[in-house]
Amino acid sequence: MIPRAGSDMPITYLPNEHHVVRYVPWARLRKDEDDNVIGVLGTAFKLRDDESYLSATWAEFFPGSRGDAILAATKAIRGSRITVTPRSGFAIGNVGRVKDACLADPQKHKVRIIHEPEDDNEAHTALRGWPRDNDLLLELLAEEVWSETILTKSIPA
Amino acid sequence: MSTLQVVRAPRDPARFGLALISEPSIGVSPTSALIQQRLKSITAPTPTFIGSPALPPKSLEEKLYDALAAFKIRTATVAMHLDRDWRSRLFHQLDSLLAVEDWDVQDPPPSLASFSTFLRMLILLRPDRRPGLGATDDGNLIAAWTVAGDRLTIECLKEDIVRWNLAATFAGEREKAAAITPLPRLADVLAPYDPARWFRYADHLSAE
Repeated sequence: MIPRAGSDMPITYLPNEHHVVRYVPWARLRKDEDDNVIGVLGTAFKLRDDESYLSATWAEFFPGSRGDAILAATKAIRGSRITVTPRSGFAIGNVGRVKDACLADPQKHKVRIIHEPEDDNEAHTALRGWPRDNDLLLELLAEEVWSETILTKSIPA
Repeated sequence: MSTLQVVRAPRDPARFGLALISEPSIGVSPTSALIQQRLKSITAPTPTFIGSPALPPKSLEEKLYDALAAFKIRTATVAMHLDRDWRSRLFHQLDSLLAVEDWDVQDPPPSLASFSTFLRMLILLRPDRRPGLGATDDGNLIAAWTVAGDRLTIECLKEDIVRWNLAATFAGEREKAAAITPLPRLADVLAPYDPARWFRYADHLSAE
């Protein structure tokens, strides 16, 4: 932990072996022609114009096995201000692999993955230094790195 | 000491300019009365000037419904280029994509300009296999074909421009490409990547 500038709150970087969970709306899920979900689109990891970092939720903030932690992270997202819709999903990524993929890109994005709790989600995490215009990298993340997907309808409420 | 308070009622917009028009004298001719009537209609404020009540903002459901209706009307103008069953299934996909219960409230519906590019792209590429559909947070439609790990993703921008990227395996080697291309050149720039792998069904390929 490193003290945060201008604050008593220490900065907590997520360990490489931990996981981040990101909410993926229905329109950002990759589907076949019959609407069967087969993954996530690269645009699921695109920053909105007014965003300076990518939001996710730290799975291992919650205790238990990997599965328990991921389930708890999805519940934290459902309990937050985000409106989780029935056919949406969640993408799960390994912290170290996400950082490595960004750094290995020709543009060498040095991404910092920081625990930044919010009022409605204690496990909220900010991915800072996130690429803004790099479609190939976002597709790579969607296809190979941040590609594990679970659907909302498969998670018990 | 007293205070004189002058209370002025708001002026009736319908009366603006009428002061310049004097009332006709008694015994005025029918022609004068007609001129008087027309002058009144000239000075009458327009509906905009009066200030019509502002329409309430559309709900998300209304916006999505309007977008869907516009997409289907636009498709009808080129219906002769699309097989009926194919078109019907595409409409079903659009209904599904824009279902209000699954739409992210922060996203605008896809724009008609993006849909027009999407439609022309389908007519130019003539794929047997329909794409999976998606949308960006800034109102663009996404067409995605995924076959055995080979991925082609095309974001339809306005005015016949597409942003595409692909990842496909050629002779055991993984290859990736991305570009922004004017729609008329899309088939040419995809040609080296054997796009039939995405657009044609295997049984069609074997028959060729």
